[in-house]
Amino acid sequence: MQKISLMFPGPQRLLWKKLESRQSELSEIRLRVNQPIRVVLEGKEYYLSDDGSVTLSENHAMCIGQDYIPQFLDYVCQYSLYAFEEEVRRGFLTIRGGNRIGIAGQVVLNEQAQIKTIKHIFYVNIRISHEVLGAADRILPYAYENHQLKNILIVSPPGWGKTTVLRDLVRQVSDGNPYERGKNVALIDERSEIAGSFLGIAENHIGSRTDCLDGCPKTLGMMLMLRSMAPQVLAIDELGGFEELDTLRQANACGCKVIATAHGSSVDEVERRFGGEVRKLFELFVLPGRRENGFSLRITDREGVCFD
Amino acid sequence: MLRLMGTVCIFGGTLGLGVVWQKQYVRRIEHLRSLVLMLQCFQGEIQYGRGTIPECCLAVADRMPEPLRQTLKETANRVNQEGGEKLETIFAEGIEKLLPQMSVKREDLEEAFLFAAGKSFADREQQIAMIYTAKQRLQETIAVLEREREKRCNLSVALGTLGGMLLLVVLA
Repeated sequence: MQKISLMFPGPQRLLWKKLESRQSELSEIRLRVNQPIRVVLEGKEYYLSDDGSVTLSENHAMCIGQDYIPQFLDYVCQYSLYAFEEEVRRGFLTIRGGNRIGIAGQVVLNEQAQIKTIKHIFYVNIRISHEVLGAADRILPYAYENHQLKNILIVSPPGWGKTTVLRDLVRQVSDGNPYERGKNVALIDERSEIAGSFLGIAENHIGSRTDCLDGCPKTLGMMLMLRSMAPQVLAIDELGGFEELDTLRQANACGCKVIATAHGSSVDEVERRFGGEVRKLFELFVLPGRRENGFSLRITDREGVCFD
Repeated sequence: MLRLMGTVCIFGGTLGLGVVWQKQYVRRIEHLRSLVLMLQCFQGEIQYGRGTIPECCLAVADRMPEPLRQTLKETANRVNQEGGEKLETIFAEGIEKLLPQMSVKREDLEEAFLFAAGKSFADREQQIAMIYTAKQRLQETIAVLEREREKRCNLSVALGTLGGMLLLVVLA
């Protein structure tokens, strides 16, 4: 995992050093101009003080000035903001290690009233990616039927560990596990969050039989991988539209198993969003959740019968 | 005999100096051409590969002659090692290292690396336009140098020869 201090340019690093000892608990950093730095540790919000320690008192919190965020962005973009033109337009960029940076500022529209760019970026939300090897262990006993992988959908609200579970599931399906030998997996990593690729090489563990298409829109990527890489399993993050669902169906009709994630608080909610088509395609549903002492997983079949 | 040897040495030395100036002049043109080629490669990498500057440095380095190759690789590696340094600082150090190894002037190198060492633009076209402008300026310098090449080269050798003769007359 990339150390947090390395995400910041040299002069800003000292502040983040102390937090590195609690990096596994850190899920979010919020930077806002002229406001205190806020960090989320184990789901709880704290302020960051001048010496780098976390505090609940706003009086001891460190406020950042106008130069802080532009300097940080310049650094994470490797002084090449132009290379992130599309990402800035979409409001987020993914950096090394799969950490996602959400941005907000003043929007510039084009003639068609679409977002051309965002300037004066003074609000940043850094979501720290966590690789948890073994996060999908509990899914595997239910993931196969007659040595065939089931089509799996992972459903949860944002920030509840969907991507973490997907990443580990991809790794275990690809490498092989106690229930089945490894399979060729095609991973379409549109936002570079799953593999955390840097210069095309995955920095997270995604399995030895996984081919990763980094930064490609899902529908395009799925078709490309189907044609070119002959995958046995296709995996995508954040199923967002009917077109993507259609492509997944096509892939499944070609004999390719599919694993996907979707935003939602329940399978019914996702089912409603996709007009009743989700249960026809997917056979196993995984619902990551939160408990006081960490994360939980609920695993159900199409009928909603809970396996554990 | 001693006087004759002294004469040959002095004359040979000044003539050699003239020839060195001539070679340096020709090498400056060659090195400027390498810089233009480097900018052309950067332009291509940014236009088609949408690469960041360190990424482009790595891709371009392999197509460049030394010492540019080494400097570009070092620049990319230093950024990728996440040392936290500003790209501007890394390029400034790179220019300092290149200067003694190349026959170009400081302003030539500063011109060539301006697009990377300064603040980057938010849009790709502007970044490419910046490279294009630098390329144009270097090409103009090459054109001027080429125009005066024959004259300057002859002048260097002639000055060396005349300087040697003058020294001989003074010493005789």
